Amino acid sequence: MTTATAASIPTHASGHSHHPNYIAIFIWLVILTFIEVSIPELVHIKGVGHDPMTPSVLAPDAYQGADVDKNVQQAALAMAPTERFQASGWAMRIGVLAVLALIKAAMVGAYFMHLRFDGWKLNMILAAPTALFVFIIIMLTPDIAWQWPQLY
Amino acid sequence: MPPAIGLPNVKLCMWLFLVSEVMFFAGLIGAYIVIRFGTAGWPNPYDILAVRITAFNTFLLICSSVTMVKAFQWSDAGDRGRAMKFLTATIFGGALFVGIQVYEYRHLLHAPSHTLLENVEDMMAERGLAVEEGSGHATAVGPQIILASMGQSEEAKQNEQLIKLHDLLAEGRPDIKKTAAPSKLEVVKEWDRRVLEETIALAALFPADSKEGSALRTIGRHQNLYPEGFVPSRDNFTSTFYIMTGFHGFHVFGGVVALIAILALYAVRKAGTMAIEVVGLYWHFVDLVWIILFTIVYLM
Repeated sequence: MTTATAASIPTHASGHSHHPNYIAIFIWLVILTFIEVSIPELVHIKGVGHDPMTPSVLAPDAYQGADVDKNVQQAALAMAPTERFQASGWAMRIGVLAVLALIKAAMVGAYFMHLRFDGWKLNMILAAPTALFVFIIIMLTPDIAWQWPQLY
Repeated sequence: MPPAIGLPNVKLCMWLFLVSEVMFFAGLIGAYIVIRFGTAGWPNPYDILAVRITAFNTFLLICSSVTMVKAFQWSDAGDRGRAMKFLTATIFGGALFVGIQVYEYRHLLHAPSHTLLENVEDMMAERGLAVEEGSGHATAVGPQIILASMGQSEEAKQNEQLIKLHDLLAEGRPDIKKTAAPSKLEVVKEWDRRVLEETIALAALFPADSKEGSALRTIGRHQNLYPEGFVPSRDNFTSTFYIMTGFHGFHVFGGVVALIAILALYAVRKAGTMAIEVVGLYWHFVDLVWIILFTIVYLM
C-alpha cells in the first residue's frame, strides 16, 4: 500500500504528521468491495459455495432451469455433515469474505483514522477492546458448535 | 491540562468513546454470529435483500470517508474553503446513505406482492400477456388480486376491498365460498398463497437466467419466506437484520448531525482542524463498522 502524499496539498501544516495518499486507499477499498460483492453474485448465478442448508424455498421443479437449488439440496442431503459443509465451498466463501472485510477495516483504521501514524500508545489502548472483540467471538464459537450436530 | 500519551485530550476522549463503541458492536456482531451460524435454514440474504443497492451504499460510505479525510487534510493545510466543501460532500454522502437505507426498509417492510405488482405488470405488457377479466389464466389472476388489495391499508376502504378480493379469489374456485363478510385473516392468507402460486407460474414462462426469470424467482422466494413482508418480528434473520443495520443507521444519522454542527461552527471560526479530525474519527469508525456489517449481514 502506497503512502505517497498528494502532490498539491501540504502535508505537514499545523504540525500534523502524515497524510497518506487517500485516493489510492479509496481505490483499493473500492476494488476490494467489488471483489466482495462479486462473490455472492457468483454464488447466486453459478451456485458455487452456496450454504448447504439454505432452504430451496420454492419447489425446484416449479422452475425451468432451477437445477442449482435442486442439485445443492440433493447433494447436501446425500453427504455426511462434515463433507456437506466443506464440499459446498461455503466455508471458503465465508473465509474469503471475512478476510476481505478485515483487510478493508484495517485499511480504514490505519490510514483514514491515522492509527498507523499516531503512535504505539494509542494502539495499545485499542488493543484491549480489539482483543476482547476477538475473545467474545472465540468464546461464542462453542455455542455454535454445540448446535451443529443437530443442525448440519 | 497537558496532553495524555502525546495526543490532544479531545482526540483521546473520542478514542475512548470509540473503544466503548467497539464493545457495543462486538456484542451485537457476536450475538449475530451465534444466531446466524447456529440456525439451520438461514435464508440466503441475496434472495431477500437488495445487495446491489446496499453495495452502492457501501461505496457511498467509502466515498464519504475519503471526503471526510480530505476535509481534514485541507483544513490542516489552512484552506478552509476547500475543507468546507469536502465537509459538505461528506454530509451529503451520509444523508444519502441514510435515505437509501430508509428506502430499503420501506421496500422490505412491504409485502413482496407490492414488488411483484411493479415488476409483473411491465413484464406482461411487454410480452403481450394482457390481463383478461376472469380468464382464469395463471398470469392474469395475480396482478388482479394485487390490484384489488392495494387499498387495503386505508381503513375506510378496507372492508370493501376485502370483499372484492375475496370474490376474485373465489372466481373459478368452488372450494372458496362467496360470503358477504369474509375473514380478513383467511383472505390475506389465501391471497398470499395465490400470489406465490401466480409467481411460480409466471416464473416458469421465463428462462432462469433472464432478467424477468431471475426477478420473479427472487420475488417468489421472498414471497414464500416473508409473505407479510420482511418485518422485524418474523424470525431471527429479520430481527437481527433490523437491530444491526438500524443501530448503524442511527450512528450514521448522529454523525450527519454532528458534521452539520461542526460545519456551522467551522464556518464562523468557532471550530478548527482538531474538531474536523475528531468528528472524522467517529465518521471513519462508522464506515469501518459498516464494512463488517455489510459483509456478515448481506454477503454471508
